[in-house]
Amino acid sequence: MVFRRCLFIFFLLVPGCFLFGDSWNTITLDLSNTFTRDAKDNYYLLPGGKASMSFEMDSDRNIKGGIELSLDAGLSFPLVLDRLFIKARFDDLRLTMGKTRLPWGRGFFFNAGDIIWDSTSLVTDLAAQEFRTDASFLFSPYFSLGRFTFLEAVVLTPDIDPVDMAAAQLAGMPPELPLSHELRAGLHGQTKFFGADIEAAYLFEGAHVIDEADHKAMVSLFLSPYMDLYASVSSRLPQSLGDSESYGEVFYDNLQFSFGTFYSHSFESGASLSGRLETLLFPSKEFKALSIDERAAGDTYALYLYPEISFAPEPIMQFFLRAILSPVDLSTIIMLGGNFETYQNLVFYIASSLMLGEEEDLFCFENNGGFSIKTGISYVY
Amino acid sequence: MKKILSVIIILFLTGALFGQTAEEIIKRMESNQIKDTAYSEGKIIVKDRFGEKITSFNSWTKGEELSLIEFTSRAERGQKILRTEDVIYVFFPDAEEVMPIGGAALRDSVVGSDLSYEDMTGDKGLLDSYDVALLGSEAIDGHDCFHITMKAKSPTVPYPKQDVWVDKKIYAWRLVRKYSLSDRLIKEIKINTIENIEGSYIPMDMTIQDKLKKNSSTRFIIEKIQFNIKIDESFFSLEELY
Repeated sequence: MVFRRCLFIFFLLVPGCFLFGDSWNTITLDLSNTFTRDAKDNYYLLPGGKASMSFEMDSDRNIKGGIELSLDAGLSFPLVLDRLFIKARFDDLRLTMGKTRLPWGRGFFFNAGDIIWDSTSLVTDLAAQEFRTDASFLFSPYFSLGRFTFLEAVVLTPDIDPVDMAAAQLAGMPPELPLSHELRAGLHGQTKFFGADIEAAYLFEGAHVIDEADHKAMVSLFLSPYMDLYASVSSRLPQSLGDSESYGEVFYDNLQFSFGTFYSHSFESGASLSGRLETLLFPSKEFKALSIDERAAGDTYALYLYPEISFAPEPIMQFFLRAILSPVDLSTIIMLGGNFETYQNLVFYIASSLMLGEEEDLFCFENNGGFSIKTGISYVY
Repeated sequence: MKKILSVIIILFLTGALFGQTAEEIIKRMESNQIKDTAYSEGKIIVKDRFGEKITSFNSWTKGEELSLIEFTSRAERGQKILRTEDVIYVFFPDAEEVMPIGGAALRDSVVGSDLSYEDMTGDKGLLDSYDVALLGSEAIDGHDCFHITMKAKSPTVPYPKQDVWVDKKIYAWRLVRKYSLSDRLIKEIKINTIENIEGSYIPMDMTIQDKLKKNSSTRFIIEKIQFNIKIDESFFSLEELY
């Protein structure tokens, strides 16, 4: 069924490739099977599939547009609009409009500087090529102030949940649209200082009730003396405080840091070995083990780690070991995987994950997804 | 008297031909090939045990240190590499993210080929990084060449030792061999075609062989090249990557 859906999308999209004389088109198919275990000791074999198309106009380097649609197996609404954007450049000004993503802050898995989409969630597919792919409808002018310095503003329209919209339509009710003051708007700047890339940003996050709006800010740093070193810090302040709160307390409660380091070594044989370690730190959170009920109530640990080792004996082959570690309760999810490119753009991959920890821990074999094996194939047409 | 004069003239001519130092030969070769600005289009063909993989690109360069490469083939479309004075930036369009790379990562393979980031974006002038010495003459594919050996001045240079064969007539290199610290041959780059473009002799087709791998080679082909086009230094900036 999934395979037929993907083929349907593929043959729907392929004719579009030939309609645009000055454009280029890419269609990506990704088909997988996942063998997984749930909390009740049931084992499942689940199909998965994703088909996406992107195209860009080639006629002018100052104009770029793109659309990405994806079909994700298992959802009620199989067709998802991942990207739809236009970028236009005028000398030192670039305008971006549509559904896309802006890279604020630094971090491969943990990025406290991403105050728009919050790249600190532990819930993600460790086998993915990219972990953070959220996008929103936005308008952003980008001002280039030098070769490595820029200032960027952004206005993000309030997100509309398609599930809620569809449910309202099915119920014959008018959909509840977000109000204009629920928008998000911000400013982001970057410059180079003594060899280090420094970023700072501010974001206003509107809410349905005006007083519940938030103000977020971040600072991020990247330097590469011999290995990559990067760090981000961010926090949030509400528009209005409660009676018993102070700005200092709230600022500290919402403070989050992410740190990372990356190093790659190439051998004479052409093989390469790389290692990455990222840390996520919430100074105000718990350094003692929490029960399941406490975590469900919103408590979280103060410290998480993301280590990754990757070995490529040759360019067409790669093996990796990734993990999310919870040092506070000494639990972890570990993933071992590999991918292999045979013919051009055809990649086979396999990844297996295992949770290790005790029953009340964050990660535990007894949890949903405590064990899984995923195999798949992807092709870029 | 006439005999003495003839010998003096012969010696003078001989000295003139072989009086060039290795540094002079390298400078003349680089002045032939490094232009103020250049734009080129080309492709990289990687052969391995599964067949061929073809990656196409456009490239802009200014002087010795600034270059921007944009990949135009389907799977790599939108990926860009920006080389500046002290760091290389790589742009991944799917993530809309720019990653600086430096140090040992400069020797990482570009799009699975036998070319590294260092090879692809070109390094600084050879005389800045290497001590050079002329070893003599040798014929490469029927072309008489100067054989020059180069030893790295500092341990940060990716290839500790290189040997290069420079065509005596046109001052373009015909063959390069790159060695490790232990004097082991790592890579060999052989020129297949040289063309005269706007008065300069430019290698247009070369084969790069990783000597530590079997059944693997990379062919680097320049299909179009233009020199001294107008490119401002501000073109080589983060803005151009997005």
